[in-house]
Amino acid sequence: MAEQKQKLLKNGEFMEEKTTFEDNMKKLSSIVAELEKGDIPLEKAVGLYGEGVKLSAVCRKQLDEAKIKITEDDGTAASK
Amino acid sequence: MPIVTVTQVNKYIGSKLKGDRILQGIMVKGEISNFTRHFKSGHCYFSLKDAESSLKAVMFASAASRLKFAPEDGMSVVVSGSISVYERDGVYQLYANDIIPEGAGKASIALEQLKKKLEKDGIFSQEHKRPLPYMPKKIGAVTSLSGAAVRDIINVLTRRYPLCELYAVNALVQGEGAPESICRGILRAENAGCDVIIVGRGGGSAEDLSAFNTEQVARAVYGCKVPVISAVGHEVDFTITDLAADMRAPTPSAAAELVAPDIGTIKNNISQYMNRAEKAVNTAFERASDRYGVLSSRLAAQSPENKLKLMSEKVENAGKRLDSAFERYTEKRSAELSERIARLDSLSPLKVMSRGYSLVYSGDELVRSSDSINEGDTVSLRFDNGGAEAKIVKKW
Repeated sequence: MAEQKQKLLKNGEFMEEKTTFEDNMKKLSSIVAELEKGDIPLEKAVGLYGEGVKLSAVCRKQLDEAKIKITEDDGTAASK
Repeated sequence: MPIVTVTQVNKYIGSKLKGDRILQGIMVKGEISNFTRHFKSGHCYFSLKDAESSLKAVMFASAASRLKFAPEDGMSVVVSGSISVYERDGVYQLYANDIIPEGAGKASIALEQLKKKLEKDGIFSQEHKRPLPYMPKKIGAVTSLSGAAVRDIINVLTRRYPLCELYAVNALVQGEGAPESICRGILRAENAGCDVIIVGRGGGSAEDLSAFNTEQVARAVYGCKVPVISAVGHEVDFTITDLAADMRAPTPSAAAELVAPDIGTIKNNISQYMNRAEKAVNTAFERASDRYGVLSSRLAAQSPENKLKLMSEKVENAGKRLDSAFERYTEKRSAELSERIARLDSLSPLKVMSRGYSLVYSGDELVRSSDSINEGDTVSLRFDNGGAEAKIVKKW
């Protein structure tokens, strides 16, 4: 399943998919901060905004698809 | 030998006992039996006994209300009070002021001493308390995997924050070996790379929670490299683990809610980020279009068409000014001319002569004075409408 997904997505999007949600949120937050500095050229602002839209979509997707992963450790086996 | 009454005997024995210093301030160790509380008065009646003997005891309601626990049959206790005679029945009994459960009393003193010691060592210090990560990736849970606590944590995290990995380490939470097991669990969660750890269990009696009141567990929580949330299910007292933890939650479910934000909150955060980004881009657009507007109007001002237009306007203006100036000039001149003509007209001699004057000439000379003519001269007269010759007959 994961293999198929990798093939379906374009390279760039696949890279984003792999970064963690927290990293994406951090990046999104820094993009907004950069945009809010105000004195950036329009082209750069538009570029950043586009990146932000893409990132927010990735974040939402990650949230919607998130499934808790549970690892049980019986507390007795030798620690790895 | 005098004869005395029953009452006198009991009174006498009573006064003997009252005078005995040992009996008036005594602590008696024994096991409670036949404990009854009078439903109306609230006074408590019971017996204290050991292997060989039994002692009747009473605790009045006022003293009983100060007890922090409910005495029961079979409890080993130390009762403090005094021994007096109950004259009506002719029995002596222990009038209890206080009852201390033997084991618990020792334990609570030891616990207080441990708290003081750990406090002195800085285990509870506020400066050591670390902030929890806002969005933890891997959450450790050290508790009994067969208990309700771990199920509660899983339920809450699945609903609120499914982004995480939960690393659940099984630990004995009560009984022998529990402190060691909890400490080992904390270490294992830390080694597994958890960025925050929940340590706890569901509610229980004071004895059930005792593992969380050990120095060992407190130091393991304090020494953990990542923040620890204590979640020992009890509301009333803080355990030592609670005091040593970076954050205290009243129950495991509450700990799972504290450990991470709700997914809905995160979605709101994303929306807020995007709103801010949109606003910032709009501002950038507006600024750019303002700049464009200013520049383009300045550029238009410099275009050849505009210059030509300006020039032709100037020419047209000049022409208009010329025209009007010329007009004014001619008007002024013609006014002057007609005025002069009028003045000339009024000065014309013909005009004067028409009023009855005539001119006298001697030859070609106008005669201006009688001195320039003599009697007998011939002169010519000019009238308005003709002339005549005349002879001077007489001068005067």
